[in-house]
Parts: sequence; structure tokens; C-alpha cells
Amino acid sequence: MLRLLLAAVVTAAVTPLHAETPPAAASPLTAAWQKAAVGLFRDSLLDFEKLESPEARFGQALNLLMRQPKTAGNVERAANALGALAAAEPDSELGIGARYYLGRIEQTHRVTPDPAAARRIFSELVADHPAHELAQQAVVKLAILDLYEPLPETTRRARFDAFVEKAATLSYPAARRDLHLLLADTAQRFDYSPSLTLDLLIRADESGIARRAEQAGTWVRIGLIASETGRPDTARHYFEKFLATFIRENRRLTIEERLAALPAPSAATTPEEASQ
Amino acid sequence: MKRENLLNFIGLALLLLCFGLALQRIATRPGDKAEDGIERIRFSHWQLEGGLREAFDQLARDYESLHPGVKIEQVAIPERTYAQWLRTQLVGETITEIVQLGKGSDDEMLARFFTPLTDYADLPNPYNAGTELADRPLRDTILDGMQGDNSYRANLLDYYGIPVSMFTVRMFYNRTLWRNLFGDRPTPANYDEFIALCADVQTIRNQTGRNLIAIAGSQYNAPPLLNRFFSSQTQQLNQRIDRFRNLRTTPTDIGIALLRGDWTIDDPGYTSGLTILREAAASFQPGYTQINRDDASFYFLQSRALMITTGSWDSPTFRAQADFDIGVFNLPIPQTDHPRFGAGVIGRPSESDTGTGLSFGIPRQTKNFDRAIDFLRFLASKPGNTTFTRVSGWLPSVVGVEAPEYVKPFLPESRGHVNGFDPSFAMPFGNTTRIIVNDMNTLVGIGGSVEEYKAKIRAPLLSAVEQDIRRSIQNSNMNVNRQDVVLAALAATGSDNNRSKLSELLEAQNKIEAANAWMNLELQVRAAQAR
Repeated sequence: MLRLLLAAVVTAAVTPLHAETPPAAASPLTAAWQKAAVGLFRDSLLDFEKLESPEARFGQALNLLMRQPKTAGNVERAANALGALAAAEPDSELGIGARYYLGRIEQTHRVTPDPAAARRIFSELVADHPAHELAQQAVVKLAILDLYEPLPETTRRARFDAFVEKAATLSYPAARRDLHLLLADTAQRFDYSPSLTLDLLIRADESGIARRAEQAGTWVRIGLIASETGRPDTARHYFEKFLATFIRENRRLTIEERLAALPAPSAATTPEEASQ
Repeated sequence: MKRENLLNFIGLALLLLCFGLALQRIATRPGDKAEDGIERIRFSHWQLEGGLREAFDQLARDYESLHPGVKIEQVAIPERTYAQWLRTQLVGETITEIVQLGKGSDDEMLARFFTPLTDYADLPNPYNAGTELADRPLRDTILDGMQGDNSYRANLLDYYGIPVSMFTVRMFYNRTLWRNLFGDRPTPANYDEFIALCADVQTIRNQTGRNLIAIAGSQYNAPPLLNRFFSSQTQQLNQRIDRFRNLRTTPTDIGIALLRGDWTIDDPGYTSGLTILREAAASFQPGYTQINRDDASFYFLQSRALMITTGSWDSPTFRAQADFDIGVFNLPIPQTDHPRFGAGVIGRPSESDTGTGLSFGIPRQTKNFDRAIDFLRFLASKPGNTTFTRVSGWLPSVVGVEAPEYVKPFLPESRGHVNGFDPSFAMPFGNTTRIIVNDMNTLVGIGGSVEEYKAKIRAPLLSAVEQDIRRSIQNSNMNVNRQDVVLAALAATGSDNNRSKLSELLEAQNKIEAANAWMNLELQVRAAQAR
């Protein structure tokens, strides 16, 4: 009796009480992904481990990357699982996903990243499936790898110019936007021409900036650079958009002052004309 | 029975008794169940400042009168134990139906235990019916668009909290003492008048031997004042090193610019900041850096200090505890034509980016979610928030709420320029701040000087900035890696809402990753140059 009571006390003390998890979804696979989507990687991993399908192995591999403490062994297991999926069906949706994330493992998840391996995997993916969304995101990742390694500045500039050409060919708005934003930032980091930066920022904006804070910053950048490079109509257009959209902003007064300092408007009346 | 066995038996009996009491407490705890037709909503917070609990009580009674059969109870938890209390209650499933977010509520906890409120942020607040906010989504009725950290979680791309207030920092003064000392002298309108005022207090102290200081300083109260003056001097410098031309430099942007040599601590703006900081710090009591917040408050409340710099959150407490009239003014920074401190100034800084706070979220385990969200909407409505600010004396979070006269001095000054940066440019991870703070006595102490201070920080500062940038890269790389898995999950679950989150997350990931790559490259270049 005493033993039973003690066991009850000890069990009650050590058993973690049930923590709430997201509501049950339509299928176990979806439920596992939903947990990963909100950052519950350990729960998601446990769910995927119980399931039998290539997609479950894909989800399991990705969640292994987040298993704490992070170990080289877990990263290697994830890479092996993704490698097996990519080898089995290199051109399916799952295979393309596996190849993309293999590139990401080499680029950023390993304790010591292997940029050369990442570059090779991304390049092959881009060559095999140039129209796929993940391949177009891989172009952005390739640009980060290629533009920010120690290089002679002439080589960097040549690579930069090649990516500017490539950016115009991307069909997915998110990838097009991100590559143009990246190139604009790069142009400013390496002191390339402000006019070039301006064009890249306008292209990014046309592709649709997703986050409000980024949108505000992009419009301020376009306005300021345009006003400083002799494009007052473009500056006016973006300054006015900024002031009309962002009511509570600590940059408003500065932008109002810059707007007031612009020369009188030209004949251009439409945003398209103004941004030319 | 042997003595040893008897002791064991007593111990076991006590253990069982405690276990039984604990079980009974759990079984009979007041919960959200509708007992006797009463629906209970409890909300927990750590704000023990005067006025706030009264405001929440008033709002609870107002809500109960609108909804007969509902009982609202507040649970005030001491700030020091709040984080542990929150985690324990969440795991034990004994948490209140509504919870103040901010202490211990990290991304993992929010994702696991709290309900995203994004759908409600996109909908109009029904309690705004009949006001000009009636048709606006909830987030557009909040002064900062619900962008504060405890409302919107950038990593999770969801809203988890609804804010009720916001905070600014002002100079409080003892109006009674002021009249005794200076008659009807107005509050300082410019920097020179402010310094002259502090000097006059010092003169009175010297002439009368009275135990009086101009400003009560402490580790907590001094930095807001000193940083305000310092950052006025770096406004021009901040715009000069704004590489991306977005008028919003980040701490790591400023740090990288320092490492690249785009600016140095000998820059006129930074040097002038140190000079004004030294001048302003002379108005605190000696040894203020060793004094804590409570001691500084005592100096002020005991009329031993004429002024104290602190946040709007202290206003109700001071008003309740002080036996004198309290006045409030905003610190005057030097104007652009100031002969010594005007060169680096652009103008008064805007406070438009003051974020909202006092955010409340709803745990997933809350059974009567509909009632909980309804009460939160009531708190964050124009009428509810008007009551809140009137009773508590805290600032409102809702657009268009008329603040009472005594709260108006705390309202953010929206017309103003982008500010400069503080001495450690708000660099995270502590190394830069440690270098700036450790030798502060060389700058502000008797016999100290700007040049002596600069000589002490010059070499270690660069190394500290480099360490902090490395930590920053490491930290954001972990975030980037985490985003990879979330991105795959969002793509797999594929709703329209998730597609939009996916696009936002990709944009953020690529920006952070490129910034990290650039900072890495800069550090490599610097290391190569050092060799």
C-alpha cells in the first residue's frame, strides 16, 4: 500500500502535464507540418518519425536539423535522408525540395559550411529546373554565396552584372524581388553607382515587397537616391507614397522636408512616367 | 516503533498531507467554468504600479455591466517571479485565461502555448462601433499598428498579443520645491536653460549647505537622460554613415561602419556627444552609477532631488506617493544654432516610433476563448482605452484616445527628426556596452576628461564591436536555419495565408543572410589587414 502511494506521488511529481498543441489537422502529415510551421520542431519530428512516406522522410530530415542540441551527426543524418530522396526521384517536387535543402545544409546548417558544395548543388538545380520556384530561390542563395566571398573587386563586379541580367529573367515574384533587393544592397555595400541601385530598388518594389517595414524602407531609399541622382519626379512619387501610407513614422518630417526641397514637378503625371 | 521509523512515518505523513492539499487546491481552484451561471475570465500581469490595478478593476466592472453573468478577475504577480510563474502555470494547465506577454514569453512558448490572434488583428473591433475606428481592422486602430515585439512576432509571422498602453521617458520635477527655490521660473525651453537650472541648484546647495541635488541619478535613471543628449549630437553622423539611405541604421550597420573606418570616436559628432554627456552628468549626485532605481526614486520622493528622469509608467506611483506637486517636461536638446553643441544636431527627435506595450495574449488552453478575446477587444477599444488612460494615468495605445491633462506631457512627440545613436549604439550582446560603461568614471568623474576617456576606450572598443558583430551573425544564422524548416512547412501546408507568410519569411531570410555574409566578409578583410 505504502509502495503504491509512493509510486503515485512520484509519478504525479515527475510526469509532465499535457501541454497544448495545435488543434488536430486533417491528416497526420499535415498536422506534423503545422507543428513545424509554428516552430514546434521536436513535436513535428516525433510525428514524422511515426509516418511512412517519402514526404514524412523529407519532413523528418528537415526537423532533424533543428534537433537540440545541434550535432554534426544529426545534420549528417538529415543530409543522408535528403540525399536518398534526391537520388530516388531527382525531378519530382519532393526531389527538387530535397536538392534545395541539401544545398542549404551545405550553405548554412553544417558546423563548418561548405560553400563550394552548396554552389554545386544549387547550380545543378537551377540548370535542371530553371522555372521551378525553389530553383529560382536557389539563384538568390547563389548570389549570396558568389557576391560575398573574398574576391578581387573586378571579379565581384562581373559576377554582380551577371546576376543583374539573371534577375530580369526570374518568373517568380518573390525570387525576383529578393534578388533585386539583394543586388541593390550589394551595390550600396560596394559603392556601385547610385543610379544602378535606384533601378534595382524600383524593380524590387515592382515585384511586391512583402513586409511593411521593408516597404517603408525601400520607398525612403528610392526617394532619397532619386532626389540625389537628378530624378525628382521619381523621388516625389515615392516620397508621396511613403507619406500617404506610413502615418506613424519617425522619418516623416525628414521626408516632408526632402519632398519640399525638390524642384517643381515636370510634365510627367503617372507613376510609370514618374519612375522612368 | 523505533525513533528512526517514527520520523520516517511523520515525514511520509506530511508528504501525503501536502499532496492531498495540493490535489484539493487544484480540484477546487477557481477556473473558467461557468459555476452558478457565472463565466469567469482571469487575466494576469506583473504591473504593480499605482493606478493600474484600479484601472483594470474599473474596466472589469464596466465589462461585467455590459455582459451580465461574466466575472472578470485580475491576478497581479510580482515582476521578479512572473516568468517562472507563467511557465509553471502553463505546464500545469492552471494559467489564467488572459496573460500579459513580455516576461518569459519567447517564440517557443508562444508557438506552443498561445493562440495566434492574427485573424482578429485583421477584423474591426466591435467595441469601436459608433466611433471613427468602427470599420478599421484592429491593428490599424493601435498607434504602432501592433508592431511591438509583444504583439507581432516576426519569427512566427503572427500576432500573439493586443497592447493596451505605450511608454515615453520624461523629466519629472518637484513643483513645490521648484516654487520654493525659483518662484515662477518656467521649465527650461532650451539646453542652456536646463544646464543653468542644474547649476543654480548646485549654487543653492553650496550656499545653504542644504542636502539637495538637481537630478536623482542611478544606473537605471541616468542613461535615458544622458543618451538623449548624446544622441542629439550624432544625428548628422548617423545620416552620413547611412549606407543604405533608408534613414534607419541598425546597431550592426554602425558597428561595421566603425570597423571599416567610415567613422571613428574622434568624429566631431561622437566627441561632442561625450562632451555633452560629461556636462549633463555633473547634475547627478556623485557616485550615481552605483545607485539603483529605488534609491533614486527615494531621493526624489523625499525632496532631496529636484528632478528625476524616468518613464511614464512611474507617473501614477510618484503621484500616489509624493507629498508634493509633480510637474513633467520633455528634455530640451541643443538647437542647431547652439555655439558648442549645434553642429551635429538636425532637430528635435521624433517619438513616432514609440512602440506600444502592456500586451495581453490568450493561452491555447483557455476554454472560453471567445469571451477572452471579447474582453481583450474591449480593453483595446477606443472607449475601453479611454477609461484605461483616465484611471491609470498611463498612455493609451489606441488611435484618437483623448488623454487626460496630466497624461498629455507623456504623449509621444510625433513631429521630429530621426535621432542619432547612443554611445554604445545599442549594440546587442554586451561587449560594446561594457567597454563604454566600464570607464565611464573617467569621462564623468571629477578630474576626468573626454580625451582621457577616448584614450581608454579606443582600442578595446573596436575589438568589442567585432565580438558583438560575430555574436550577432551567429545568432541570426540560427534564426536563418530555423526559418528554413518553417519555410518548408509553410510551403507544405499551402493555404493563401501561409503563402503570404512564406513570402514575408523568404524576404526576411534573404535580407538577414546577405547582411550576415557581408559582415563576415568585412570581418575577414579586417583580420587580413591586421595580419
